[in-house]
Amino acid sequence: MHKSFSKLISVQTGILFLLLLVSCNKIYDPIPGASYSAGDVSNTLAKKLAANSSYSIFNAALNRTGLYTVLDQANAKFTVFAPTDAAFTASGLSLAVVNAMPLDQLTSAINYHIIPNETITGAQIPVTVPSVEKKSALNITTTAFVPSIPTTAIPIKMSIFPSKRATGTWVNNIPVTAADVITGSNGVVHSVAVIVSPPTRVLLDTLSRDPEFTYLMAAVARADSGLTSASTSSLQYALGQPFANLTVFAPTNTAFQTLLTGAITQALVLQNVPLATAQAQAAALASTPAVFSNPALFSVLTATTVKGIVSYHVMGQRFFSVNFNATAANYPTLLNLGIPTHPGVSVSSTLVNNFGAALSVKGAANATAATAIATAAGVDRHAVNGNFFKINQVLMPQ
Amino acid sequence: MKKKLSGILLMVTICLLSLHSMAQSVTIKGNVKSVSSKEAIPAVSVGIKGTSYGVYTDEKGDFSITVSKLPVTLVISSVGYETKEQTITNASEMVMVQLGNISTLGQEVVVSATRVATKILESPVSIERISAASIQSSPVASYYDVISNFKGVDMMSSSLTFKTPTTRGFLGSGNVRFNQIVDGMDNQAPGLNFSVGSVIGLSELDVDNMELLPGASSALYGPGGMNGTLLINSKNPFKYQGLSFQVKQGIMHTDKKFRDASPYYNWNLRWAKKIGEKFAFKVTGEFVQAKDWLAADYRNYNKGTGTLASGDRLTNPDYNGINVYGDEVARDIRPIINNFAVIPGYAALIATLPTTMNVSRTGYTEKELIDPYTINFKVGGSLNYKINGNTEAILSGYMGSGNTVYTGSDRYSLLDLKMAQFKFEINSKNWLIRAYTTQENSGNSYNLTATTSFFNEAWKPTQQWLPEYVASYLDNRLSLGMNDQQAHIAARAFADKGRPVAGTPAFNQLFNFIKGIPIGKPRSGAPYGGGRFLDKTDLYNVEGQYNLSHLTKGFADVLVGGNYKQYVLNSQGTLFADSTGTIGIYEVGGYVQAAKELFNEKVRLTVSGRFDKNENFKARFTPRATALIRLSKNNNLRLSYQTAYRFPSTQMQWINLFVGGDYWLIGGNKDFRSYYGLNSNPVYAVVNNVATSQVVQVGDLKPESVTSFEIGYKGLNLNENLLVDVYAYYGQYQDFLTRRLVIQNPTNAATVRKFSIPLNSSSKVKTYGFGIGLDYKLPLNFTIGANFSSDNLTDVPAGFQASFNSPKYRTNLKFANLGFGKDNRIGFSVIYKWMDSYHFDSDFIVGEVPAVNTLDAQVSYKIPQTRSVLKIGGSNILNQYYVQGPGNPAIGGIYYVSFAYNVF
Repeated sequence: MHKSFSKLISVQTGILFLLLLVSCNKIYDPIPGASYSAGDVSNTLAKKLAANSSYSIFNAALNRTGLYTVLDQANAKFTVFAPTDAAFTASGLSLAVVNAMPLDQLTSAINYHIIPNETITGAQIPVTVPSVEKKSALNITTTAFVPSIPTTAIPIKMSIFPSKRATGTWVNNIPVTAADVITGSNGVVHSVAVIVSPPTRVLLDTLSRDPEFTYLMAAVARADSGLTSASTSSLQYALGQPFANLTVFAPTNTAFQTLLTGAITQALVLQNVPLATAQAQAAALASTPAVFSNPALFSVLTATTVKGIVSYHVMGQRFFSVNFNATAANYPTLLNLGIPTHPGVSVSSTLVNNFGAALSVKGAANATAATAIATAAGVDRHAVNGNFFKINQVLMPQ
Repeated sequence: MKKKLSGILLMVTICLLSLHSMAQSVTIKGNVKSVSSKEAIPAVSVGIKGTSYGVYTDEKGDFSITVSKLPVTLVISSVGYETKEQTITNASEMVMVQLGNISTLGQEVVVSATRVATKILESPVSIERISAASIQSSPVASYYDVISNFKGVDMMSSSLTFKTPTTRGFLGSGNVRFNQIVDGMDNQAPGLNFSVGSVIGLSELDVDNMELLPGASSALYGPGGMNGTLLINSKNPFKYQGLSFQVKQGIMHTDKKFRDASPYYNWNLRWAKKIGEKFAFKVTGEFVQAKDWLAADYRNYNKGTGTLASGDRLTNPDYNGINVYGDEVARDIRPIINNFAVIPGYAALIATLPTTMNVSRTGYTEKELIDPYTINFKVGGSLNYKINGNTEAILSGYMGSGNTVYTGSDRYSLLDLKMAQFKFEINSKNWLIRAYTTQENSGNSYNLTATTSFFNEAWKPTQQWLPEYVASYLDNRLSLGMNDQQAHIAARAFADKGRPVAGTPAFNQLFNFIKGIPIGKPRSGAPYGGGRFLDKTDLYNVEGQYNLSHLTKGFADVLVGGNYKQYVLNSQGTLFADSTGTIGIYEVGGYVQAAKELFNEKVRLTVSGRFDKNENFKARFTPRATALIRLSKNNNLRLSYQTAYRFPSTQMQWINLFVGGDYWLIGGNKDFRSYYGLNSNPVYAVVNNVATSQVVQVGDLKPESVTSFEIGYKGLNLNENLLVDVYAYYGQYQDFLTRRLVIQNPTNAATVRKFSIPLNSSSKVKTYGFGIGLDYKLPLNFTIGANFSSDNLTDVPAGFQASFNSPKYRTNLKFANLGFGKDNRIGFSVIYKWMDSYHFDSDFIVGEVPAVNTLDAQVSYKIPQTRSVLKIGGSNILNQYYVQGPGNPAIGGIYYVSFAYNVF
C-alpha cells in the first residue's frame, strides 16, 4: 500500500513535469484548403512562353484571348503547337493584324493549336497510319456546320492530327519545325512553320459551295438515288456528318466533262451514230451537271456505276499529303467496303521544305495518274470531317 | 399550462390559510461581527437552543428574533466561524456578538448524500461540495465551470453557454446518465433530453451551494442518475438578504484565431428582502452575452464508416467537413458521366475514370451559419412564507432564454430557446411536499445539417446541380486540359455559380425561410421542409418526503418518499411521433431509507430502496446500502453498494425524425414496429454503411441499469491541516441502451429505408476507476490542493459504441490564498488542469480528443465595508485552445474584470 501510494505520488510529480514541458494543446489542425496544391505555378507553359521572345505574337494572342490564364494553370496538361513570330509572318499575320482580328476568330484559331489534357512530346507523336486523331481546345457546335443535317447542338471538339514520318513531324499538314521547344510544369510546346488554320465547314458544305465541283456533287446525288443527306446510308450523309474522318480526291468539273464526253461519245458510236454527231451530242449532254439526272442516260450512268466511281474517290481515313510517301503506294477506298479485294488507289506525294508540294493519285483503270491542283497554301484542303484534294482526272476503278 | 399554474396558486393560498402562526412576545435584537476584521457578518444563523427555530443576520449583521419568554440561549453559527452560545436574560440591550474564524477543512454540511444533513466527512458516499464562497474565489468565468475542477469530473462545452458536466464517463452535451437537480427540480429538458442547468437554472449570485454526487444515485433521486447527480441549491431569501450585483466584463478570442477579439458580458443581480418575520422574497437575474466559441473542425469525415477521410473541400470532391453542413448530401456522378460517352472525344477520357465518383454538395461552415452571439438571459425569484418556526412555503420560478448550440446527433442551433420551471414547495422539519413543472419551448431552434441541405435544395436542386457539375467537369478536362482535381474544383465553381454567399441578403432571406419551416412540413419553395423543430414538451412532477426518525427513535432513522411524473410530448410531429396529438408518459416512484448506528456509533449503516414504474416499462426496484465506519475522529471509511437505472429517454421512446438521405431516427415504442412494419417486413443490419443479410429482430426496450461498489476514505490528518479524500469504484452496466442502423427493402431503390433504432445491448460492460484528492492548509491562509482520478471502461465488445468519452487520467492542481495583506483583503487562486487524450464516440462524430492542459487564475481584492470584491481573472489564460469532443467548439481564454457588490 505504502509502495503504491508513493508510486502514485511519483506518477503525479512525473505528470507535473511533463505538463510543464508540454503546455501546448493540440486541436484539429487542417486549415481548409491546406492539402490543396496549385502545382508548379512558376513553370507553366504560359510563363515560359512569355519569357521566350520568339513567340511574341503568339503571347500577344494568348493575352488578348485570355488563354494565358488557361495555359497558366499548373494543374493541367497541354500540348501546344505554337507558331513562332516567323511562322505568323509566313502566314501573313503581323502583330498588328493579330491585334486587329475579331476576338472570337482569334480565340478559335489559337485554341486549335492546343491539345488539352495531354502532354505529347515529340518522341510520343506516333508514326501510325492513319494519323492519330487528337481533340483540340476548339469547340464548335455541330449545328454550325450543316443546317440541313438535323443534329442537336452538342459541342464537338475540333480534331487535330499530329503525325510523324522519317522525313519529319507535322500537325495536320503543317511541319513541326522544332519539337519540345518548351517543357513546362503543365505540358510541352512544339514550334510550327505556319499557323494551323482550323477548318470551318464539313466536306459536303465545302464541296457544294465550290463551283468547280458541281459535277461531283451531281454524281454524289445520283449515287444516292434520291436519298437525302438526312439518310444515314447516303454518301451525302457521310460527307456531311462532322465526326467522320475522310479523304476525298475531288475531280473538277472539267475532269468529269472530259470523262463523260468520251464515254457518251463511245456509247453513241457503238449505237452507230456518226462520230462527229456523237461527239457533238456527247459534248452537249455532258455540258451540264444535269447529265447525271438525265433519264436518257440512266442506262449508261447507272446509280451503281456512279456510286462505284464516287466511292472510289473517298478514303475512310483522314490523310494529309505529308502522310503519303514519295513512292506510290496503294490505299483502300470506300469501294473496298463492297469489293474488299480491289487494289484501291495508288498515291504518292512529294515534299518541299517539308510542306506537301505535289500529290499524284492513279485509279486502277486510269492510264495516267491524276495530280492535285495546289493553292498558295499547298495541295491540302482541310474540312471539319476530312481532307480533300482537287484533282484533274476522274479516277476509274476498272 | 395556464390552468395548471392557477391550480398551483390556489394550492399555495389554501396551504397558507390552513396553517396557523405562532404567538410570540419578546423581541431580541443584536448584531454579529467578525473578530478579525470587525466587519458585520451577514447570513449568520441565530437560533434558540433546544428548538429548530431561528433567524439569520441581514447584510448589516443585524438580527431580530422574537421569543415567548426569557431567558433563552441563542446559538450563533456560520460556516467558517466558530459557533457561539449566548444566554439572554434581558431583551432591552442589543446583543453584540463577535465570531472568530476557524479552519473550514471538512466542516461543511451536505444534504444530498443521504437526503439528511450530514457533515461532509461523514458522508457515506463520495461527494463534493461547492459553496458560494468557493464560486466567488474561483478563477473561472461561470459557476458551472467550477465543477470541472473537482476530481473525476468531465465537462462538455458545446457552446460558451451550454455546459454539461459528468462523472464516471459518458460525457456528451446531451448526457442522459447524469441528473442535474436545481432546488429539487430535475432540469432535464423533457423533450430535448439535455440538462439545461447552464441555460436556465440559477443565476450565479443566487447559488448557495452545489453538491456533486459521483456514481449511481437512483435509489434516492430516481431514474437517470446512473453516473452521478449534481444538486444546485439557491439562497434562501430569509437567510441572504439585500441587494447584490456582479458585473463581469471580459474579453475573448484575443488571438483572433477563430473570431475577432470580442467582449464577454456577464451581469448578475439578486435582491432579497424579508418583510416582517414571516415573509421574504427574492428576484434574480443573469445576462450573459459573448461571441461564442467556434466549432471549426473542418476535417473530412466519413459518416458511414465513422472515420476521418483524406483531403478537404478543394482536394476531395466527396468532402464532408465535420463543422460544414449541407455537404452531407453526396451522389455518384459516374452514371451521369456515362451519358456523355456518346460524344466523340469523350469516351477515351471516360474510360480512364474510376467506377464510382462521389461528389458532395458544397456546404457552409458553422461560422457562416450560426449567429456568433450566444446570449443567455435568466430570471428567477421566489416568495417564501414561514408558516411556523419549522415550516416554510416556497413558490418559485426560473425562466431562461437564449441562443446557444447543442451537440446531439448533429449540431443544433438553439435559437430563442425558452425554458421555465415553476415550483411550489412546503418543507418542514420532518417532511416536504413539492410540485413543479418544466415548460420547454424550442423557439426557433434548428438542425444545422437538415436546414443547410434543404437550403441547398431550395437554391438549386441536386438533380439540376449534378448534371451541371458533370458537364463542366468533362469540359474542364477535355477543353481546358485540367487534371482531375482542378477539373473538380472548377466544376464545383461552375455548378455553384450564383450560390448565395453566407451573410448576403439573398442568403439570409432563403436561409431564414428554410430554418423557419418545421422539419417534415414541405411547402412551396421548400419541397423537403425545413430544419426547425417545434418542441413544447412539458413535465409535471409531484413529490413528497417524510422523515419518520422522531417516531422510530431508538431503532433507526427512517425516511420515506415518493413522486409522480407526467411527461407531455408535444412537437407537432417535428421531433416525436406526435403529429396527431400530444403523447403522455407517466412515471411513479417511491423510496424508503433506514439508517442505524451500530457498534457504539462506530458504524452507521444506511439501507435504502426505490421502486419506480414507467407506463411503458416494467416496474423497477433499486436497492442501495452504505456503511460509514468512523475509524477515529474526523477519519472515516465509507463503503457502498448502489444500483441505478434509467428508463429510455423520451426521445429513445418516441422520436420520429427524418434526418435526410433515406434515414430515419425512430424511437423504441412498440407502435413504431407496427407502423414501419419492422418485423413483418424485415430489417437488416448495416455494417460499415453496407447492408448485410442478417435480419434484426426488433424487440421491447428495457431500462438500462448499473450496479456499483465503492470504497472510500475521507479524513483530516497532519494536525487537521490535510484533508484526504480517496475512492475506488467498480460498476457493471446491463441492458445498455444504444442505437444501431438497420435497413429495410435494401434491394429496392424506390422503397429502401434506413432506420436508427434504439436497443438494449446484451453485453455487460464494466467500469472502474479511482480518485484521490488532497487539500493542505498552509499558514497565512495559503492552501494547496491536488487531485488525480481515473475512469475506465472494459469488456466492451467489438463494434459496440459505448460513448464512454472519458480520459483515463486527469488531474487538477490548485494553489490559492483566501486572504493576505492588510485585513486579509487580497486573495488569489491558480488552477492547473490536465486531461489525458481519449476516444470520443457520439452519434455526431467519432474520433480522438487530444490531451488538454489549462491554467486558470484570479486575483481579488475585498472591500469589507461594502462586502464587495474586485476580481481580475481568466480561464485558460494561456489561450491554449482545446476541444472536449470532435465537432465541438475550440475553447480558448476568457479574461475578465469583475466587481461584485454585497457578496460575502
